[in-house]
Amino acid sequence: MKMLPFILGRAVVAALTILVIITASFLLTRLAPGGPFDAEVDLDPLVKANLERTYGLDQPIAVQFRRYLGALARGDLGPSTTYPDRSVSELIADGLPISLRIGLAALAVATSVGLAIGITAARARNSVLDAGLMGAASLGVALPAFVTAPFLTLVFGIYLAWLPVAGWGDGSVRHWVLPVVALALPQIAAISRLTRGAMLETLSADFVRTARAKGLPERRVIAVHVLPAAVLPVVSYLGPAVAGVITGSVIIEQIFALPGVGRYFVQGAINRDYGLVLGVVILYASALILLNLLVDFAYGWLDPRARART
Amino acid sequence: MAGSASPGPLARALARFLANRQAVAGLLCLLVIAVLSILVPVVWPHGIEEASLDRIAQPPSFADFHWFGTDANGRDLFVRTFYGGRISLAVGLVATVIALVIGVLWGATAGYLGGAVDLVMMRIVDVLYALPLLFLIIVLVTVFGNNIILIFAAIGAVEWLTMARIVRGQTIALRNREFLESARAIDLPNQRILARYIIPNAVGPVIVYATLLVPINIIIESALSFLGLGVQEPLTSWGLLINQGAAQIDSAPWLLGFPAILLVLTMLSFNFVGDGLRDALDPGARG
Amino acid sequence: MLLVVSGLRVSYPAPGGRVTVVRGADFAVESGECLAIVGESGSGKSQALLATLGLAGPGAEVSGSALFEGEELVGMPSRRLQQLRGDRIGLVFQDSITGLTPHMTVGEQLAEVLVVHRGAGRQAARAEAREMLEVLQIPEPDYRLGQYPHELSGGMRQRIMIAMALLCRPSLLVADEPTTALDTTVQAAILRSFAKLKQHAGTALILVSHDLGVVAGLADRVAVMYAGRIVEMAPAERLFAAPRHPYTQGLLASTPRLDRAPSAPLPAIDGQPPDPASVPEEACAFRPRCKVARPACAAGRPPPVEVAPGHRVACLAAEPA
Repeated sequence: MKMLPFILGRAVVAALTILVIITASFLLTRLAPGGPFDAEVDLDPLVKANLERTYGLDQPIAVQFRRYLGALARGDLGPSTTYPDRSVSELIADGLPISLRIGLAALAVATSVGLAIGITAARARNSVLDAGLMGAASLGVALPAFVTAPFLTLVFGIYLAWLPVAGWGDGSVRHWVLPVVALALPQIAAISRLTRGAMLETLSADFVRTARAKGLPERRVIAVHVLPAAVLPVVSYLGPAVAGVITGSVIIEQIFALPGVGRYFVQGAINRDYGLVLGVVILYASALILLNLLVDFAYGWLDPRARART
Repeated sequence: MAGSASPGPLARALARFLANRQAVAGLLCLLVIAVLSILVPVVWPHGIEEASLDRIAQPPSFADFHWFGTDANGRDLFVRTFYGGRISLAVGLVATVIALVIGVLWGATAGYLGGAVDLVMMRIVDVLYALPLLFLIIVLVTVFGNNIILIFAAIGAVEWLTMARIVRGQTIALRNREFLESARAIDLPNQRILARYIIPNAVGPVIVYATLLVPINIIIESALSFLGLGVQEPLTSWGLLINQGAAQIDSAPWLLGFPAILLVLTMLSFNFVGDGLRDALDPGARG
Repeated sequence: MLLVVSGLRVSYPAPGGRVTVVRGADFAVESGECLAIVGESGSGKSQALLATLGLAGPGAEVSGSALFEGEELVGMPSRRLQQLRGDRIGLVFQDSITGLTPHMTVGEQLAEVLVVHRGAGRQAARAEAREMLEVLQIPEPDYRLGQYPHELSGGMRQRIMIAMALLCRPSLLVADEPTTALDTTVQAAILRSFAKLKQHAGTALILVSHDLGVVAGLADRVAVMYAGRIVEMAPAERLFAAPRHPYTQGLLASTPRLDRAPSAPLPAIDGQPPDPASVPEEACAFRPRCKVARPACAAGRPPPVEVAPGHRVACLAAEPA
């Protein structure tokens, strides 16, 4: 097995990619016309220069970048101009637990419910149940979170009044439900369609007939022979699914007024707070690249043919 | 194979498309929405900015031409919804054209040159692919400001990745063109070969993907506007209307409902048309 | 008799009514005997066996009777059928790249059979699987057990498949086109191992094939199927020496033989195999392609007649010898 060089090679590429992304987004924010203090029209030039000195914006770009990287290595993402008394790292440290919890919960819900729906639809193929589930999934893929979320709020938060309309409150499960559902819905739709297709393809494969010919109980045929093969496309979809959840979380956190990373990100973007925007982008991009790395490994582990190829 | 009297490939594709009920319904729906978006702001008795304090947040009614009701400033939602449709559709279409141009150039260059250039160019696509695209657009909007032209550009500048992959694949396939040799072997004239094989092969997937990209771009524009990072008052778009509607969902749910219905209808229609085009242009690809 | 099939009918749902693919098949196998079922694709030869073993496709309807060791298979609860499959009845299919589960090692797939049917532990099952590979003279059995299907050649995959079917020492092995996708040398090796199996273990073998040549060296008796019915059945030697049904004669004439010049073109049977949806119920199904057809052939389906001991033919042209 040439597993170790393979893992190392991929890890090096991933690290380089992250470095390129940091550099590119840093240069983008520094070279752009206009700065965070341009919006305040009445700003005294002297005050502005002072502010820029405070944030190190008067230095040459190379110096600024070296400082930024050095700080980054210590986990310091620099100051935020939107929240002058807080650092970007602090803001992220505040928001991340909330975003992470909502995101992971949505991902868990989406994967389990999506798989269950896809398997059910595939096993009842061409029935009314199948048509109904897949029709709902088509609609689910087309419905953006900023439409479903207010609708969910209207039904469960206002008319039925079962759940809080917005806010994190004490962080109890009641506050989670609506954001997690709204975040998970498009992914449930996508995963269930993917699973159904993969299940149908796998069920018609010759090895399924072989497994049945061996006299295995049907449940074992599905669980041991069909599912691991059918789940492969879902595993490779995990990368895009996480990207979708992260993107969705920006909107969901805004709608439900959750103090997560996405909300800080939007506030930062509105106020042209480069430090904050840069910090969040670097964080999420790195997380996604690492995740895709893990998905690659998981795929190789699940599919011996892929292992041979890489 | 039928003789030379059989209809050409385009006519056959058209027939297949017209036989697809979902696709035709989607196309009709899009036409109606487009026509309304163009005409309503011109002919409607109420103006876009025409506010009236004595009819704030009225529910929909046929009296007085407030078919979709009025908003918190007493402005008519019907005319605003279709005016928003203008901008949403325009952003969707223009951003798609931008993505199309970048994607086709990028993909064709990579596929045509091949080798190390191809490797590097597609590696860049892979890297960008792994990132949440809305974030990149937000960064671009943050840096360059949320002027509407820049929003077109920012969305288009990010959404070309899949297009580049498709065009690259097509270019490589056409370069190898085994089917062309067999077409030449049976002495088909060059124009026939072009019309019959090359153009349908290269253009088909691009048209299909472009059709499917429009709703994606509309959603991105709406998401940006919803977050307050896109279209700004006094302009409006479906995303901005949905944002304003969501804020008053308990007191005036129609403010969310009508723009949302139009947005979803447009999305579904584009998807149906795109699927229909794919099946019509490339019947072997799926079912 | 180990397996007695009588009046077996199999039909599938299709647009515009059900299509019957097996229309009353009768045959039987004894322990230690090899019965070959031969016919063109679409003759219903595979369906007849798959359906009795509960492996027919969705919506299949099976009627008639199939007694295996005294138990009725038709209408048997799927639980009990499951217990028989892979244990008392082994199955081997035509080799294909996806014939074995791609994400499991050969060892896992073999051991699984013993775990399910015998309740064996993993270690014991693996040891027994290894032993079976040795019995089948598969080189480097330990190495094979750790391999994945994509690492095997077609012939090796098929031998693993056979090992899998034999693990529980079944009394009946059903092999459906077992050598069709393989090249000639591998084909010969596999047929040899079947012959050995029959001789030493007393396993009954049903060999389903479209190729009379494959069947020739191994079968004790041959049944020829056409349009869902057995049109001729005879001891192998007799069938090859004195075929009575015009269809069998045509099949034999189109099979390459060692005693004929290899360059001579093989005569093929004229016409197409019948579409199962349009086979007439009250006429000989072979009539449209038959060179000796007479008006009476359209009037009624010829009943099987015993023309010699153990030799039955369903054809008006075949009079008792």
